[in-house]
Amino acid sequence: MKRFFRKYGSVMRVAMQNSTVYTRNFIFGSLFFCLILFMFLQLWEKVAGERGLVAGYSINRLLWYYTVAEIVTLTRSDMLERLNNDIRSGDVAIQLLRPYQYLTSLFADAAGQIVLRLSINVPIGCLTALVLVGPLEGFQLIHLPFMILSILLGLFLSLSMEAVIGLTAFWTEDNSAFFWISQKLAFMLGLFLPLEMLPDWLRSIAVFLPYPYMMYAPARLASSFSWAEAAWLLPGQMAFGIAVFVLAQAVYGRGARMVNTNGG
Amino acid sequence: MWKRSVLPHLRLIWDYFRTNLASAMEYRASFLMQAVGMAINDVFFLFFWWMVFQQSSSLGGYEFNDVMSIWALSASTFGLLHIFFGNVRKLNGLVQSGELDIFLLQPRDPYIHAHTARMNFSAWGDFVYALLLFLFISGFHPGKWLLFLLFTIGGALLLGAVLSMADALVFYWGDSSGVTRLVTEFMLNFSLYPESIFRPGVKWIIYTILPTAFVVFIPYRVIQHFNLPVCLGVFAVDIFAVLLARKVFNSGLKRYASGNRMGARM
Repeated sequence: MKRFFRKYGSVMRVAMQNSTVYTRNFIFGSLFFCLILFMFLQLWEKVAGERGLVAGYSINRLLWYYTVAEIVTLTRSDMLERLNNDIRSGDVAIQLLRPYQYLTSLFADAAGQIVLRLSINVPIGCLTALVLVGPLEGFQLIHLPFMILSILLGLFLSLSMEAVIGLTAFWTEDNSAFFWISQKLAFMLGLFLPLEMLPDWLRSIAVFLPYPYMMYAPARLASSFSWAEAAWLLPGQMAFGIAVFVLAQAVYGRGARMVNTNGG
Repeated sequence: MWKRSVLPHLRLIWDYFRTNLASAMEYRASFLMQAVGMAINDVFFLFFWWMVFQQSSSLGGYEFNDVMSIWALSASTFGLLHIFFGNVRKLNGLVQSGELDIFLLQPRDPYIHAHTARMNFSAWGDFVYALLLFLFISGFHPGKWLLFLLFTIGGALLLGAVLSMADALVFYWGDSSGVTRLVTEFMLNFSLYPESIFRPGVKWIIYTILPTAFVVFIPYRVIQHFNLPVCLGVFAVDIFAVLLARKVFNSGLKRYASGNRMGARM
């Protein structure tokens, strides 16, 4: 176990060091984050009108909802691109020779990137929301650990889903369409539209899919925390996170068996 | 001037279009998957706006069909641009890898040549989706369709000009990928929401430095209520932006040092 953490901890540390090189891109990414929150605020203020409420959310809670949902969305690693490049170029054959499990090393690498991006996106997002709508209504410090746990679980689930999609490169020429569709399902079932805005029939289907547990769960717990909701959202996130991760390992196992190498 | 300078470049664009399309057909399954995937991707936003309008029937005078028409214009301009000029937003990579040399050695204008050499296959999904959406919203009204197609061409040129100016910063900064991505996101986001939600500061931006108003909002108003001077004004802005972008590219090019890269194009 100690060796496991030392080995993959090193991969994670190297990924963090590498990511710090792209500071200019981080700054531009932060500006995009501010823009998105500003656009959402303008849109939903117009929708809410004089009522000041949209699907039970006040503008303040709704903007904080989007802030947390966007933190999960924008805190991405290059896992998908790495998998696509390695598998298509055949580099995966070389990776298989290295003294670590390839997929686990990619998760460690992604974790390093995510830690660094989180450390930028969280303050940027919170500061923007503070400036636009002020502090979150009804916030209590005791809810904070559950919010953080939910964000981390959402990130893990999103990452595992990217791994599953990326690994389809073993069989398909181009998997970008799978990614777009999966990403938009996550956007429509949580990022752009909180479940409360969906019709009942769709909401009852959505809770059995992994997508609401990526962005909706952390955003809902952050903006409108309740113990009753935490009691089903957090276990749901854990269950889907583990299930999709196990699926990714299974898909990797099958894909890696298909790799053929020729000497030369 | 027309015969010596415009016509050969139109022929170049057309030849690249045909060659790139033939290459897409070589990998038909991949091409179809990308195009259909992008179209499905766009359909999700139709659902988003439908849900938004369940909460409120009008957004500052814009109704569901108005927003969908804006979406159709935005998707058609973005699609058409990336079908004919697939290297837009890729100049940064071309300069950094030294691949720009190839276009400098050939007799055609390097600004046009470098941008038109590639086709983005998924852009077909955007373009076809936009045409179907506009057909669904507006029916077959010849006058509206003519304006829609003309504004799509003009908007694609204007969008391409703005993005290529952002990209040309690579000549000065060494890496323009971040700013190009940001300008793309701003241009796209501003053109996908109804103009009525924007505050005065944002409106100033979309009528000046990031001119999305000339890509979607003004064209949409002209399609609804035809106005010849406004229509001509929009096309004048499109042409001015392209000439300006070409000038910015050529000024930047003076700072470009060859990558000394050897390569062959098949």
